[in-house]
Amino acid sequence: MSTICNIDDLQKILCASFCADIKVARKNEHLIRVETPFYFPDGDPYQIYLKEISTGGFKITDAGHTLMHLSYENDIDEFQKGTRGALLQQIQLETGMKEDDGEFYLESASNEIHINLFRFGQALTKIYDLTFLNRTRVENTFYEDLDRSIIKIVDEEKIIRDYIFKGMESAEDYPIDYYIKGKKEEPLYLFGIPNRDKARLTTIIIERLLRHNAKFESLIVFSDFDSVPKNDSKRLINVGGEIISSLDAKDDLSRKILKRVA
Amino acid sequence: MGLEVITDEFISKLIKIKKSVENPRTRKKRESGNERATYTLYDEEGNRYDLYLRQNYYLGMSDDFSCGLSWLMTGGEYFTLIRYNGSSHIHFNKIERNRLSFICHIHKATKKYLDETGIADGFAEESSRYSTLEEALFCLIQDCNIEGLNINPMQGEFKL
Repeated sequence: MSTICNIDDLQKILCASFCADIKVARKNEHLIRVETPFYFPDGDPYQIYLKEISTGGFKITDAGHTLMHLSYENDIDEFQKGTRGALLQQIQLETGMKEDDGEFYLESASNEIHINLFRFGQALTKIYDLTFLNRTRVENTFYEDLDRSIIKIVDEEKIIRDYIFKGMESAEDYPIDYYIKGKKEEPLYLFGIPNRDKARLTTIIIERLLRHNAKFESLIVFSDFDSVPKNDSKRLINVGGEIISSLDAKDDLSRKILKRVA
Repeated sequence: MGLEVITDEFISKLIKIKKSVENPRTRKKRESGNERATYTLYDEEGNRYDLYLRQNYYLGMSDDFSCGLSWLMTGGEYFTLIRYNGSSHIHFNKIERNRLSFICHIHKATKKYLDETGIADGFAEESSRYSTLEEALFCLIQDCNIEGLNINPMQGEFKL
C-alpha cells in the first residue's frame, strides 16, 4: 500500500539531515575542516578541508590523506601507471580535480562550494574504487576471462583443468592449467600467465615435462605480455610453444587452439 | 588460507604470536604526500605479515599518521589485523553506531565486522596510549609481540 508523502515535509527533512551531517570547524591556522557523510569502508571519513584562495573562493583539498589511506593495503605507485594511472587521469578530467604531490584538490567559487564539495566526495569515491583493480583481483579476473574464452572455443568435455601429468615424481607440484585433447596423440597444454611469478613457474613446469619426455604441444596465454619482465618471458618462450600476448587477441587464440584440438 | 579461516580466536592468535622483522633497515620513502615504510615480518609458523608506517607531511596534518599490521593471505591479499591511527579524523563504528571524536584510535579486525559489513577492521576504539607515530609503533610492537625493531619513544630513537 502506498502512502502519499508530503513533498514539502520531505524537502525539510532532507535539508535538515544533510545540514546535520555537514560540520565545519577550523582545524588549525592552515586548514578549515569539513565533515561530510562520505566514509571509507573501514568507518574512517574522507578528510576534506578548505583553504581560502587569495583571489577569492576556496581550495577544497584532502590534504594528502586519501592516498595515504589507500597506501595501507595498496602500492600507491601503481596508481600513477598503466590502467590505474589512465583511470585516475580520467577521473580528474571528469571532475575537474587536480593532484599535486599526493594532494587531491578542487578549486571552487564561494557560491558553488556546496556542489563542488559533493563533486569532490564523488571523485574521492572513484579514486578509492581503483583499489578494486589490485593485482590479486586483476589476476583472478584474468583466469576467469581465460576460462570463459577457452570454453567458447572448445567443448568442456575435451578440457581438464589443473591437469596433473602422472609420469613424473611430485607431479602434483607441477599442475598444468588446461589439458585440451589434441587432434593427434599429443594433447595441448595451455597455461595462463598473469605475472612474472607465473611465467617463471610455467617455465619450470614445461622444462620438467620435457625432461620426462612428455608428449604435448603448449600454448602460453599472457594477460599482458609487456608487463612480464623480458628475461622471464624470453625464457618461457624458449621452452614453450606458441604464445598469445593478451586475451584481446581473441581470433588468434581461437585459431591457435582449433588448429590443435580434436 | 583466505577469509574463510577468520575467527576472533584466529585473529587474536596472529596478533599474539611472536614475529620477527626480516628487513629492519628497510628504506623509508617520502613522496605522494606521505612518508612511509613497510617491514616484512614472519612468525614462528611461517605466516608473513607487513608492518606499515605512514605519516602525512602536508602542512597542518602532523596528526594524520597510521601504523598497522596486516597478514598476507594465501591468495596474495592482505588482511589488516590491527591499525593505530592518529587523531586527525573521527571514526564511526557502523554496527554499534557510535562515533569516536578527534582522538587517536585503534582499528581491530573482528569476525563480526567481517560478516556484517564486509570490512573486518571497521571497528575501532579510542586510545590515549600514544599521540605520535613513534609512540603508536611502540604500542604496536608491544601488542603484537614483534622482535627486531628497536625503538624507545621516550628517547626519540625511531623517526620516519
